[in-house]
Amino acid sequence: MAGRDARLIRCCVAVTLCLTPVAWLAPEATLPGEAYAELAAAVAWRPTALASEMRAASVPESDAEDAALVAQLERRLDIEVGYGLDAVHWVGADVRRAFGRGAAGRESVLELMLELDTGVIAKLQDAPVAFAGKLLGHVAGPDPEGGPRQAVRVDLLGHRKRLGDQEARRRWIGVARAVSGPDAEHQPVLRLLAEPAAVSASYRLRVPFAVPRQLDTWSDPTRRYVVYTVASDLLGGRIPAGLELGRLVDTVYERFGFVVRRHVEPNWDPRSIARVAIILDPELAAGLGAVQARRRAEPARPFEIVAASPRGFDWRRYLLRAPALLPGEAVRVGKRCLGIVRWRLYGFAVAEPLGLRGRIESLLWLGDGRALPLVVRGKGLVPGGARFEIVHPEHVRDLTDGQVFTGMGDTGYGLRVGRVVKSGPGWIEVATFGPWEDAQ
Amino acid sequence: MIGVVVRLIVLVHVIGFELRMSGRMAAVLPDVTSAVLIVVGLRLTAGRALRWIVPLAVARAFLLPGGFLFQLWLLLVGFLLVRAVRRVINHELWQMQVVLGIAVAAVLSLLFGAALGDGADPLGRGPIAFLVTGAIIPGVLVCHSILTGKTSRQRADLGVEGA
Repeated sequence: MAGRDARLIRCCVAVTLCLTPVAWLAPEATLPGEAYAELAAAVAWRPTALASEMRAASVPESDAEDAALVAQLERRLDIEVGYGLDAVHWVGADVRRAFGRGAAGRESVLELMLELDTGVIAKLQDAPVAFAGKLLGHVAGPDPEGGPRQAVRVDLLGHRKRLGDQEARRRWIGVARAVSGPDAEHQPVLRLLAEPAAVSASYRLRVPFAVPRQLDTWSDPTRRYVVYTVASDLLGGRIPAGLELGRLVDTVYERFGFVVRRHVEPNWDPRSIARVAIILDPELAAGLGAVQARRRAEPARPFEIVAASPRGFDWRRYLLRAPALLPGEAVRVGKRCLGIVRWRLYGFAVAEPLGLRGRIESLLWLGDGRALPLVVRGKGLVPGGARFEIVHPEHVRDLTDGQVFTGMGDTGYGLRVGRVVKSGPGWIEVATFGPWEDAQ
Repeated sequence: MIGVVVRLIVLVHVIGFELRMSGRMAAVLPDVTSAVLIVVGLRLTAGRALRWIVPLAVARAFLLPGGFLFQLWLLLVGFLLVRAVRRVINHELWQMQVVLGIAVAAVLSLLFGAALGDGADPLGRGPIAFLVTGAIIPGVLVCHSILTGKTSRQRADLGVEGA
């Protein structure tokens, strides 16, 4: 008995040591089958909910106001998405998620909310994808192991294919110009080739060739060089000229005055992109536009609150009866987002409001006549709302007096999250539509 | 299997009730998880203790912030702490049980807060809650002895003690 007990204790010590990194680095991480265990706990906690009848969520009184704001966001975002693309045909597509690990350890693939036949995706392959005048990447080819109908994916600029693959080195021709400084327009330009950098690199694109090789782009700290695409039949023929690739970052021996290495860092975060423009032929653009129009008309899915954790903490969790909600989907009432579903099994779902501590979210801020994509980290619930730390963009000015909407996600962008009531350097506080019992 | 289900039902209701009360008086409420860990750490073999720890981790993962892996890790740390301490103290003394209760409640709260609350316990527990937890531990252990009908001497004879 004592020997078995000692062995089990040693096992416990080993398991504890193995779990320590997970517990500290990703305390919210879940196991694949964990939802079933939590379902057992949910049934044990509220068994009567199994037999309850669910009523549909009512539409809130302010739905007209919400619809007007969402329409304003959509108009504004479409203007932003199509910026700089006047001379080409493009179609907008919502982003479902960013995943993968590419150059500089950043997400390297976007999955769009656009499901097409593999034949159409093959025609779209390599089509450039842009957002707000910035080149994001290219449409990926169909997955050979996928079904006949697949979600369109975008290989971002930092995407690296398998080692040994002939297509591993996608390259872009660019021209770097000084965009700031007292005599920016008179500064010489740098022509260059850019390609994805290593996963361990600090920046997403590296510059293997540049002409003139030793052009001084670094000595004046007030001068900023930005790289733009150059139209070329040789590399990526459909890329329009003038799309931004990123800012030029030099590694130099300043004392001796020569460049050791050059990188380009795109000025966007893959997690912030809620909608993209696919640049393509006119006839394909018309067909994809119709697909998008159909998708956006999906109605909200009903749910009913079975139980909720008490108020007063900086976190909350809801047990719902929601047969139609999917994991990762927004819990919504009308055009308002209340939170995100963690898991759903056999009609039970557990959902949490936005802004929980440590959760990374993609949001859109609408105000001052523009739509700004944000990547935020939750800092916990506060009375009447939630507080967020802004991860991207890094240097953002005052965001008070703006409305906040959901960004990329399984439901698509454009659900109202709330109104910014306070903001400071790197943070915002949003008045949300909670508690859910009142919002429903 | 039935035992695991029964334990899960009991624990999810106990933690749920604790959570509901914590919303109103978190600062003075004893930590039920610490009490369970001390009882299973002092009075049960490792195998039997794990039959309580795993359902407790599931219940906490369902009701509190943090996934199952984190909750399991947290509970195992608390359990191993109790097992390590029981070798060096006379845990049949109520004074030692009080100290152990305070220590385990404080360690769990600090770890929970450090990992998920930027340093603050997500349930809002503080020093008073640790003291209250320590104060109830001797009573909880007496209740356990009464319920199981075994004295400390009988447990020692069965090989549970000092394993």
